[in-house]
Amino acid sequence: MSSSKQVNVRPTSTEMAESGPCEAENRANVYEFLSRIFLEEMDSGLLQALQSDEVAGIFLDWGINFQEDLAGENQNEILEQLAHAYCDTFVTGEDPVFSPYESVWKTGCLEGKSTLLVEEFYTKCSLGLPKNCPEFADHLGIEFDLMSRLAKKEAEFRLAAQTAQAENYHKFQQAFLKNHLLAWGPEFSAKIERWASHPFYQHIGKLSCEFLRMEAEEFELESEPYMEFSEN
Amino acid sequence: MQLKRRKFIQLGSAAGAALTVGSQFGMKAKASALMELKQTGSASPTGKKNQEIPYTCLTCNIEDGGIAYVEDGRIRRLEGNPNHPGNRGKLCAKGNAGHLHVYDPTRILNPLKRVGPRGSGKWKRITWDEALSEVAGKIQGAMDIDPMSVMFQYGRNRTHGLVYRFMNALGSGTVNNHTSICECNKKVAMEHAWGPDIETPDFAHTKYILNFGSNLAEAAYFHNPYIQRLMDGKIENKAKLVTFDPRMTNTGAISDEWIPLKPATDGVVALAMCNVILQEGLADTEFIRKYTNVTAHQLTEHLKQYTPEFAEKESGVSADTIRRIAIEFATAGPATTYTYRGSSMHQNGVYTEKATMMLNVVTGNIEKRGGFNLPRGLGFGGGPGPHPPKPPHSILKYPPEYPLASHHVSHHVSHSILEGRQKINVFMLYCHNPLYTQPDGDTWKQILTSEKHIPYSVSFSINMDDSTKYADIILPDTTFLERWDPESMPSSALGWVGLRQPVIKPLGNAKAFRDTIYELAQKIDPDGKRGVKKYFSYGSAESYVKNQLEATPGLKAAGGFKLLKKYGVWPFYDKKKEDNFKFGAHEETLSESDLAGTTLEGRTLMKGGKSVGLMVDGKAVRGFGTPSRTFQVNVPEWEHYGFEPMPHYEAIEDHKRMKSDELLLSTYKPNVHTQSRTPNLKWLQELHHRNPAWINTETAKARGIGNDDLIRITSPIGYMVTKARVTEGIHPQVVAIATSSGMSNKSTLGNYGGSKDPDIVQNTWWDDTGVHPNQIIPVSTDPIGGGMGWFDTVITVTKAKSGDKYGDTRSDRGAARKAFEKALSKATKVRTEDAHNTTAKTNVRDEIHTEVGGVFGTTAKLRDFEDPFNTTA
Repeated sequence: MSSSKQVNVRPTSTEMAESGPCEAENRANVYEFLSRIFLEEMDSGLLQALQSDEVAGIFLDWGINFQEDLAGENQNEILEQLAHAYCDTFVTGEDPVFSPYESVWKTGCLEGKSTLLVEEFYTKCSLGLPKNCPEFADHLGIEFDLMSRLAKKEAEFRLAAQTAQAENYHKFQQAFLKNHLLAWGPEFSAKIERWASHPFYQHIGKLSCEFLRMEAEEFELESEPYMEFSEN
Repeated sequence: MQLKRRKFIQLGSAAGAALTVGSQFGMKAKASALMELKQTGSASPTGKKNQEIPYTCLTCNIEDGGIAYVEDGRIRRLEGNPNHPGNRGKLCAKGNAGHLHVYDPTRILNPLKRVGPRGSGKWKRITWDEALSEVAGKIQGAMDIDPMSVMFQYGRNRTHGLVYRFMNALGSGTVNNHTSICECNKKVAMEHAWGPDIETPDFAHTKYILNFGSNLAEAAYFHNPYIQRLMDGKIENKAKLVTFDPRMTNTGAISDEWIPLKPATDGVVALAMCNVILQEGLADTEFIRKYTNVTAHQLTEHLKQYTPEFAEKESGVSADTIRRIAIEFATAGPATTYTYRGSSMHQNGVYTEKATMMLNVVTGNIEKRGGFNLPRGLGFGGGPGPHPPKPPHSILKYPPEYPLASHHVSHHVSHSILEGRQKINVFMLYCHNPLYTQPDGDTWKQILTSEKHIPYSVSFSINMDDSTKYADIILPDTTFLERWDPESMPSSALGWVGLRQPVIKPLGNAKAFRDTIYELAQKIDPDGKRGVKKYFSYGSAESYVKNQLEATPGLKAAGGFKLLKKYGVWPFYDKKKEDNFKFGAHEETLSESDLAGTTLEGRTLMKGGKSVGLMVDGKAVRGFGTPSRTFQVNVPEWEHYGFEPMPHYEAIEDHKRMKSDELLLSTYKPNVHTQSRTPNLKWLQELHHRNPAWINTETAKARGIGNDDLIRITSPIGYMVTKARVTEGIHPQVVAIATSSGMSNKSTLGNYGGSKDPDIVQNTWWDDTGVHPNQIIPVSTDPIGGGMGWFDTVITVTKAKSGDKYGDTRSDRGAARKAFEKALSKATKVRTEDAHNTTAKTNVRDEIHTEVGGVFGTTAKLRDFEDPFNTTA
């Protein structure tokens, strides 16, 4: 882990916009991490990293034991199990309760207005959609990617002491959270925590849900209340 | 435990570290590039320009023309194509909802490989390369053992030859369609009688329509184009519409008379009417003399046995009504009948279809304005060469017990595989959900879950339907709005060819079946040594379809493929041409070149071993598409196999033995659904989502059943528990249940969990998605046509028993097997265990289709086609 990624967190929300570049960079990293986890199956490099004492130790503070979730003698078998669980949770589509698309949550259809709005948001922020993007723009992983890139931009401008530009990217994040991510991300994540077939993804759901809840607090926004899943 | 932000943000560093070794967006880019779409510049409510892209609908199988309005690469809405000669700018409810297939949240957008036991729902997402490599390897292995052990079972296949190109190239004739559960009895009857397997009635100019069991206002062939013409005829031409149907359909409701009759007795009613018409001297004896292979006297004598009183005894329709309608039909002026599945999908369906056709024959209403006419489709080519040779046919495709069943006997396949009649190593399923749409669904479940009977199965599908969920690998297909196909249907007097073109890029990693098959062929035979690759060297799907369509005479001169891409159809609708259409195709005089080299056999003109014309009063005319070129009132092929060659009625054995408390089960397609593919479409699901059993008021009363009561319906192979809809609109001896409800796919409930979709949150006012009846319907078969006896099941109906729950469905595998054996026992006795010994059958069938090509002028290269119009619905 490089020293440049050491944590430097300001404790109050009002000071957040004035916080140093590391705050934004760390937030960007969390978003990028979640984006990666939601968008694709685990690969061996990421698995090894998450199993390492260095990385896993940080998650232990929240009662999440990735070393336990990802334990096993054979790495390939673990990857295989995770790939099945990923498919169960996000891909098969037999039960759209886990559909990872904002449009499905809002309109019941794939590639709806939300997809277009997220695409437009990328343009508005002078960011292009990720190259070879395998998903619709309103996939949770892509929405996390956008937030990650906005936070990175904010961090870059803060590092260069270009406060106005940094503020601008901060506002983009606030708007995107308000209009998109917080409208469905916490609820979706909570469902993943409860219903994912593998403890790793249950814990990812928990992390995602809590992170978005805290983002809502810090940006002084309201997230949609979590509605208990109805089994009817 | 709630996480603290300060601690949480530390994750940033950990996450950053973890990601240094993880790749993002490593997945392959979307499947394929797309045609350049035109920008015509119509405005949408958003103020943005919309592209207007013509396409051919495939929500059902009418193949109407549509225009897709596309904005920012997304379909905003669908409308009818005003240039289309079939649907004339109008789409039905299903067509209007067609784009919801594209955006269905349950769509499969990636290849999936099964990782748990079959049906466990455990899958792994894999790449296309991995998927195609695996399937190719399995097919190679099967080809090395026996190419015939590679099986392809399709449902709504509109590729027009591609499936056969692929299977023929592999050397396998083990290909089955689903026509035997659709309307094959009608096809077989018509092919032997006059050649083509469907008619094009001129409803708009007729004076009288006798409708036997067809629901033209809702679902029958070709409901949208035909109901428009039928209403034109009723309103502008004062045509009378009489509907015989056990159930009061919406067609019954707009009829001048709705006459409920006992199922499977339409034929005897029709023959009794023919008898009356002949006896009353109202027959067109000149037509019979000139164009049939019997004399009026022979026919009159033969039909004497079918008295109105006998028909009344069998059908419940009064003799007086039969007489009256017979005379009205014969004297109204131009008149026509219409039929589809309702009258023909019985165990006596072929005889029934022939009987109803006879009404048009005895009144001379064949091929005339306002009459019952030969179909007017346009053909197209068989695609780019070279074409693979035809392998032997499989015993699963043409069971020798059914020598005349020219459209396969698909509902026997599950039992035949179960008994090991042919070894299958690789089973491919395309746009078909047999576990749901076939009778005796539990036997399909038995083979689809058995790795002994089906060691490896592949499904090409857009979503996780009831059968796909048992596959070993799923290759995500595109919807009809994301693919290329040529089209033609005889849905109006003016024949047309149309184009199905992608109006948007395929969603996600879905890949059009045409592209998948092309790539699969390359994988199976990378070096060309297996002899497969050479048949798949034509390049893109678009070039293949272009090649097919530009073979249509006249199209190139009119603008060719470019014109079709721009307008979707050719030629365009022209009211004047339709109103002034020239009929009498059978009377067309043969030219000098036609006649050169012909010899006369009886009245039939022969050339090169094939019949080409008919001598009528010294004049050489084209005649009909039969071996004798006559309208074959007497079918020698039927006699050859022990069936009645003349118009005939045969009561269903089980119906003769019905006890007083027994009823008949009928099923039907509601106006907003297909059999199995539309319950995912939320607009349609809201309109029709439950399927209570229609039961007559008196019948219900006698059983103490009230509206919405739970009832138990018991068939010879099982029972189901559903709700009753008590109504006067059903024959007292019949219970009718809609298909399209009761699927296992959860989205049919509109159950998107915590979705904020206002349609779901605010407008989902139902929680009842119905109970599907097919699992309790046993296999039964017309011994001539090989078609399923869908509406012949004898049942008992009682109030639900203690402990019965809504939706309970049980079937008994032993009883299902007995039912299958019973069906077989009624077939001809030419059983063989030689899986490839179906030569005699094939010859009959091939001859028929060759003739079909000649009679209505299609230039289609039928060698690649299983069915000239593939009109199976």
